Amino acid sequence: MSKTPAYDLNKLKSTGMMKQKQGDLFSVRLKVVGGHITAEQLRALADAAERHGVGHVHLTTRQGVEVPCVAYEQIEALRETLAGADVEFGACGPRVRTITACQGSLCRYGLIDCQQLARSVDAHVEGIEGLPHKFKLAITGCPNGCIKPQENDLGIMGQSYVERDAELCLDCGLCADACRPGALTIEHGGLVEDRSLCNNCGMCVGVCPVDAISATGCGYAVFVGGKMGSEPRLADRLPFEVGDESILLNVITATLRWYTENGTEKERFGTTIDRVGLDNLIESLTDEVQGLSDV
Amino acid sequence: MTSETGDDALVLTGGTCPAIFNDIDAHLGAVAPGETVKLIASAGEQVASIARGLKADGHTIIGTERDDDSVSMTVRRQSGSPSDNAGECCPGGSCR
Ligand code: SF4
Ligand code: SF4
Ligand code: SF4
Repeated sequence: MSKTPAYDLNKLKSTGMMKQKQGDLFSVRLKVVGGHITAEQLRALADAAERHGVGHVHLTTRQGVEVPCVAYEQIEALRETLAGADVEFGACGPRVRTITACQGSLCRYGLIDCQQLARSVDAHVEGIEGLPHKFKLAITGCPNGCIKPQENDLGIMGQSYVERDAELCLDCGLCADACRPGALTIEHGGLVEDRSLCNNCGMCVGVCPVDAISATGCGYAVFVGGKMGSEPRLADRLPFEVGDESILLNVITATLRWYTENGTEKERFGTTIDRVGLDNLIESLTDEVQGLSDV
Repeated sequence: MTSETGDDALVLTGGTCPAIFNDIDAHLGAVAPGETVKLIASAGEQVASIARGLKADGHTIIGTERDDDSVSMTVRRQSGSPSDNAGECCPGGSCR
C-alpha cells in the first residue's frame, strides 16, 4: 500500500491547490488575470494537463483555469511545466482571488481598458494577507455590467461623464432612444434631461447626429459587498465618482484595510458591511482617500 | 413611402440584427456617396442601435421624423466605401 505523503493542506490551499475527494489528488488553480491567456500559455496548459493531470482542464465560473486530478507528487513538475509559459499557480483561501474583467478595450461599448486595469489592480493587491475571508474583485467596462460587478466583493464599472450643448441640440430624440435608464426623454417635442437617472453609460454620445452630446471624461463606479453562494447579496454602489486610476487603487487599499479591521474570521465582506454598516465604510473611505467626489 | 432620392424607404421595424444591418448596407450601397436614403426603424433600442452604427461608419443623419412607435431617418451616405456594420448589434449586454 502506498504511503500518504505528509503535507500542510492550508499551505497548499494558499497557493491554489485544492484537495479533491479522490484520495491524494489535487485540482490546481492557476493564476489568470482578466480571463486573458495567450496562445503559448494555452499550449503549455494542454501539455501540463496531459503530462501531470488526466488530459483536461476545468474553466471556472470566474474566468479561471484549474488542472484537475494532479497527484501530490506531480505538483512541482506541473509548476515547472507551466513556469516556462509564465503561468503561475493561483490563490485560494482568505485572499484577493482571480480578478475578472471584460474586454472593455475591444468591446465597442467599453469605456475603460479593463485588461490593463486588471493587471494594475492585480499588482497592487499582490501579497496582501490577513483578510477575514476570500475577496472577489471584478472589472467591467460599462454599465452593461457583463462581468457582474454587483456579484463581487468589490466591483469596478467604467463610467462616461457626458454633457449636452442645448444650443446644438435638434431635439431629434435619438439620444432618448439610446438612454435605457430614462435620463433623457422627449416631452412635447423637446428633450428633457433628468441627471439623477443617468448611469454614465455614454450611449447617447454615439447616437447624436450633430455631436450635441459629448463625453467630458471617464472614470469608475465602485460596488462593494456583493456575493453569490448560499447567501447571495448584491453589492452596494459607493456614492463617489472615482476620476482616475491612482484614486481607485487607494479606494481598493482602504476597502481591504477596513474589511481586515472590521471583519471577523470567515465573514464575507458583504456580511461585515451589513453588521458594521455601509455608512461606516463610506466614512472611512472619505477620511482616507483624497480626491473622491460625490455622485 | 419614398426617400428624397425617389428610392423606397427601407422599413426595418420588427427586424432583427444582424439581418437589418445587411439590409442597411445594401440600401446605402445602392446610392452614390453623398446621396440620401430613408430608413424607418422602431423607436427605442432599434433606432438607437442603427443610429449608432451609421454614425460610427461615417454616414450623416440629416433629419428625423418621429411618430408614436417609429422613427424615420434621412441618411446621407458617406463619401467613402459602403458601411461596415459587422458586429454592430443591440446595445451590449442584452444578449450576453
Ligand atoms: S461590460 Fe460593457 S464593455 Fe464590457 S463586455 Fe459588456 S458591453 Fe462590453
Ligand atoms: S450617459 Fe447613458 S444614462 Fe446618461 S444620459 Fe447618456 S444614455 Fe442616458
Ligand atoms: S441626439 Fe443630439 S440632437 Fe438629438 S435630441 Fe439628443 S442631443 Fe439633441
